[in-house]
Amino acid sequence: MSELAYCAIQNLTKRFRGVPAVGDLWLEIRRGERLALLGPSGCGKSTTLQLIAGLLAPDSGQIVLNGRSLVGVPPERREMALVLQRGLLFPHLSVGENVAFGLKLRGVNRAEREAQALAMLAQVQLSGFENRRPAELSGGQAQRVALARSLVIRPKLLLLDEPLSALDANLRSDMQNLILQLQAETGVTMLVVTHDQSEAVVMAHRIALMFDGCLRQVDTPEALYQQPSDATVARFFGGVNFFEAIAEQHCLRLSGGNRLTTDHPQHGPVQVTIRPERIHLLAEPICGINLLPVTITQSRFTGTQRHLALKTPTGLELQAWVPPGQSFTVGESAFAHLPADALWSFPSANEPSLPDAVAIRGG
Amino acid sequence: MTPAARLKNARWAGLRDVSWRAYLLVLPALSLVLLLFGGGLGLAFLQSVGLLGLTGDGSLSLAAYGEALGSSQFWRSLGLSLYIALTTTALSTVLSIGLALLLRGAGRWASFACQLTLPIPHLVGIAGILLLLSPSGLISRLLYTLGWISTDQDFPLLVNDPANIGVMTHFLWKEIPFMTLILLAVLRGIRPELAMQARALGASPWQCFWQVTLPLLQPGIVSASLIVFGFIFGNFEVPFLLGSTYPRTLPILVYQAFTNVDLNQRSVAIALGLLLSLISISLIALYLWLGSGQPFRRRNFGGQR
Repeated sequence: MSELAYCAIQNLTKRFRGVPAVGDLWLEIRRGERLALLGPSGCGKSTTLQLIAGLLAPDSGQIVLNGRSLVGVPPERREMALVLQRGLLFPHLSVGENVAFGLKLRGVNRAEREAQALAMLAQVQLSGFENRRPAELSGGQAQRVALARSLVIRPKLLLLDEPLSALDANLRSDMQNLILQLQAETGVTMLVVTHDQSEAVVMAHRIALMFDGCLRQVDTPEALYQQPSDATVARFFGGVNFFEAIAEQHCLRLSGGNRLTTDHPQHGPVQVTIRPERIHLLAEPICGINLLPVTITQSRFTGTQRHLALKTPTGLELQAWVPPGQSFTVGESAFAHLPADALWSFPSANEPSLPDAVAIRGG
Repeated sequence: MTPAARLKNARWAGLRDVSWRAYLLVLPALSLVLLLFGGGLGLAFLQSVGLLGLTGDGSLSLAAYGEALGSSQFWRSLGLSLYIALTTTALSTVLSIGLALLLRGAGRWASFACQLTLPIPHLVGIAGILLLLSPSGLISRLLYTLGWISTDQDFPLLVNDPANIGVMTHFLWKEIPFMTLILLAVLRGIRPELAMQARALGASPWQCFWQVTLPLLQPGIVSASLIVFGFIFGNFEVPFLLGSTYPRTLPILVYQAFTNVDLNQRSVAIALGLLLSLISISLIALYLWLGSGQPFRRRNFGGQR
């Protein structure tokens, strides 16, 4: 366990009727960090969250929080708080009573807990809502109350399970900002589970990417975009360009005879990837290095970008996202510039194949 | 327009929106209820105040009520009826809540099992209780065979006993499955994530029960216990056949007065019956008011503002 780890998850394993849901998971969270547990639905991330919260018992492994092992510790004594998808409020309590719920359980006297709850409601911009019933709130307001209810007990670890997925797009970005702002104000360590990679990128310092109950890569958002550990990770983050090459240090030899230079040395047969937004399209071959002659086979305007499908004379197909102002028409010839720092590769054989249709319970 | 007035207006507008066909369709059922229930009640009231009596001069008099309320037997019977109804309702409520929580995770068979006692007539249940619990009943004989008691005199009196154990046993047998059935349905409607959420906010299983499950179960508890209380309080045949010989419950008192050879007692019987209904309705109203949480709810969170 490293010095920095505030919460360490070690060798965590959970099976449901013999089917692995979470397998041998190791993860460290730093104090004050925002970590996102990201993966497609059914990959075991919600199960992991429930294991951390103590709502499920692991088959093996342990969780250490702030130097204290949580083996056999019931959820109410883990000093964590959980926010669920729909901001699940207690329907029999008013908004204020909902926020004060955790404090009441901890034996805080009425005057004190109501004062704290009101202050917390003000922090989530819901002053004056304390006497409302949960049924009178919108989805976004309910989620803010749920957030206040969790933060008011000053948890050592704040767990968020798909907190924004039930909200519409505009509300979602407001909530993202609010969560980031509250996290900055309180300094709470935060673990957010999501299936939405764009949400994970915005909300987290680091992202733990999970497939089929196993962690695939734990890294910063930038690294996951630019330097994925394999093609599956790259595809999950919207990677569309993949091609085979033979690497000799900084040189990539493509099957059609083209050569490209990369900043990331490799050796032997590799799979090369480049983000579509990193490909520049030039009408004239201005610079000589890493240029491929291409024909534009498709052009689609998306509002903020123009998505182009390209084909080289050797049959290599690429996609490039260029600024919408660049006007290229289908059939036109151009030159694609693949910057050396944007070319990333991993050994061809490295890509672990996913087990076929393994039924995983939980989200 | 003030908000209150607007609300009132909206309410009436809601009623106006209902088509005249709907009113027409309700009419047959409504008139039947009004005729049979309302008419019966009206006739009973007239008889009880001497206006439609079989005896007397047909002038308005509250003599029947005076006689009913003046007798010590009435108050004893009221006490007994309340004792049986309240004890049994409380016991079956507590036991049903426990049973429903135990059966919460069980499949459809649990609800089915709870329905088994519903179609069995009370008389059959009463016969069963007599066969089981009377001094010469099955349990008594079993204990005798086992040598635990030497004669049937040693077997405690559980039928027609002063404590009305037999009556309450019968009601518990009948009402616990009924209440459990209702509570199970309510429990299944409570989202399991709420308990999870409470635990994750620091509630022990016990706190989770008191702070979340029980309050959410409360509407079901209130309505189920109301039905049970109303039924037991007004029930005649069970205490008549299994209950203590003296005092007797209010419905039996009504029956005895009604079938008395003295026809003057007829109006007393009706007065008693109306009093029984009045007491029952007032208790139910009080309970509903308390159960709504209205008297306990604080309007202002966070103190004086």
